[in-house]
Amino acid sequence: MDDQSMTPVQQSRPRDKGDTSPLQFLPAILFALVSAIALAAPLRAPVTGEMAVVFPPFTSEQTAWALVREAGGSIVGPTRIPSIVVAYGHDAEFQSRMRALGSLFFLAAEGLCAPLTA
Amino acid sequence: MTLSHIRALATNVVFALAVVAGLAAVAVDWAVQGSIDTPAIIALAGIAALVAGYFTMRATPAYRYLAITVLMGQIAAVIAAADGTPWQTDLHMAFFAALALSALLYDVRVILIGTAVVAVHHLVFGMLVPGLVFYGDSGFIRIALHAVILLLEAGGLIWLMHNTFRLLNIARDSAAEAEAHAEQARSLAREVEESEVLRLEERHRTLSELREQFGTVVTAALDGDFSRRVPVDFAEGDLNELARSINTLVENIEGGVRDTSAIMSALSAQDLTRRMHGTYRGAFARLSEDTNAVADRLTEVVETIRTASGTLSQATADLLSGAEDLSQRTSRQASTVRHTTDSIEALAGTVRTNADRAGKASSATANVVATAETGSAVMAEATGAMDRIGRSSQQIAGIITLIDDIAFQTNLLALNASVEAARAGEAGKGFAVVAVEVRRLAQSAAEASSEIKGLIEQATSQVSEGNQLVGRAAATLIQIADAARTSNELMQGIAEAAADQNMAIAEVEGAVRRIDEITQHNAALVEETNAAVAQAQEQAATLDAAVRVFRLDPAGAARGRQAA
Repeated sequence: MDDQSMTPVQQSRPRDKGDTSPLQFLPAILFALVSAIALAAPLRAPVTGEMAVVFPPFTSEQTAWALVREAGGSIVGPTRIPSIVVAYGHDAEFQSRMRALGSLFFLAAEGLCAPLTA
Repeated sequence: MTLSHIRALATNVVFALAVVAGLAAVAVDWAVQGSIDTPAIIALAGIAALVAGYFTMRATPAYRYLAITVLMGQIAAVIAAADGTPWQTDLHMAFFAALALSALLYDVRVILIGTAVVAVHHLVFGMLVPGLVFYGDSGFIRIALHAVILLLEAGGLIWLMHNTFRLLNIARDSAAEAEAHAEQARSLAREVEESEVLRLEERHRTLSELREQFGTVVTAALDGDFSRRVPVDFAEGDLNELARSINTLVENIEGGVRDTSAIMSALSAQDLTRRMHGTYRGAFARLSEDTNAVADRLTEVVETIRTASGTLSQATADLLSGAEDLSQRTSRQASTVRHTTDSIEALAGTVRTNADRAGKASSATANVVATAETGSAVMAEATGAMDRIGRSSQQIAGIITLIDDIAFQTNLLALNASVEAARAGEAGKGFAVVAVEVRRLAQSAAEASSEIKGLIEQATSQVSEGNQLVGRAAATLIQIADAARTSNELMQGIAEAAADQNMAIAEVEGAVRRIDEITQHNAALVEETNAAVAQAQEQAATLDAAVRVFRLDPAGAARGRQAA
């Protein structure tokens, strides 16, 4: 790049006023979040049936099973993450009972949340 | 081209690629999944977001960040739309290509955002919903491999951008150094220019001083003072040489003017004997020759004037005598012309009176002609009346003859009646008385008719005679009218001739009056000429006296007379 093209480049750099403001990232973040949420629709758990129950981190697998049974669900199997287990809800109130017992949210039993078969 | 322009152009490229990727996501979703599902909706939402951002914030960094985010999201949407096909793995190359293109924006944050979006996409969806990211089995190792490649590319791009900015700084420093060298060169040039300016100012000051000295000398010379000189103490020898040349010029002019002035002074003192005898060159030699020539010519002129003034005095004396004689004769001529004018005016009055009278006579003659023609017409009517009277008399005579015959027949009848009454006897006695009365009436009627007949014949004879007289009178009146008409024409000719004569006399009178005026004017001119000649004689005498004050060289005077 020669001298003639250098000077305008240097002179133009101060024109990006506010490029370090966090607000500049807001449109991109909003689009990414909305897209991620939309793309994650298949992760939503069914009201009844097989679903992955997510507990707070460091919740033991035994505690998780106990809470599932206490809520009236059936045990399907563990996942790769100890604080996430796959359960079977028999009624529509299963998820509300699980939230009351300490679970965070529910996901479809796929991918990382799929039950371990071996 | 500025960095903003480069970024704007690159952002537009990213925008275009995002639109293409979004449309590809819609097409792939329709082709692979058989419906417009979530990936296609995300792709369309990304295009809408970019369009809105273009019109609201395209001059801000936020638009760049949004553009790279949407581009990565569109690629993710394409991969999600291709769920279940082997092409999913190949489409991952689009992430790396898009990340490479993000370097065109020359913004590290854009690269970091693109990397972060791909990383989060791989980590979250690769772990939770691997079917949206990978074809076949997913796994942490596979995600880690992609992440390593992604990070390597991002690091390389950031390094490349860092090096680019360093190169830019180097170039900027080089430009600054070059500018410093240029400024140093300009400074040196200014110093040289200032020294040249000082030298020129010094020379200008010296020239101004020389010009001022020249101006003083030239102004004094123009005022007739040739005593001033230009000083010869300048720093430059050329200027001193120039000053000495000017001084020599002034000295030469002063000498020539002084000698010429002496000759002119002698000429002004009526001394025409002085001449310039020095040694001169060039224009001064011509000035000397011209001054001597002026003196010679003036000598000749004075001598000529002196001779001419004597001749002029004699001539004006003769002219004055002749002018006085002419004046007297002109006065007499004017008097004669004036008398002639008076006579012509009287003659013109007489002619005018004659013309008026001739006009009146012509009018009277015209009246006579008209009266004679009227009388002639009346006589013609009288002749007609006389003819009718004659014819009436003849008719009356016829009637009288008839009456006479009736009276004769009545007398015979009365006679026969008397005879028959007489035969009747007593019975016819009364009838006989009537017949006698009838006979007597018939005889009376015959006598009366005989007398009337005689009178009628006498009247007819007189009417015929009257008719002849009337005819003669009418002929006489016609002759009178002809004579009067002829007389009228003659009188009209006389009147016209008198009028022409009157006009001619008037013209002659005008001509004589003009002659009188001209004569009067000539008399005045003669008087003026007489006075002018007298004045010219006085001027000639004065000229002769004025010329005699000059002193002439006898030899020059002899040459002047020869020239004259």
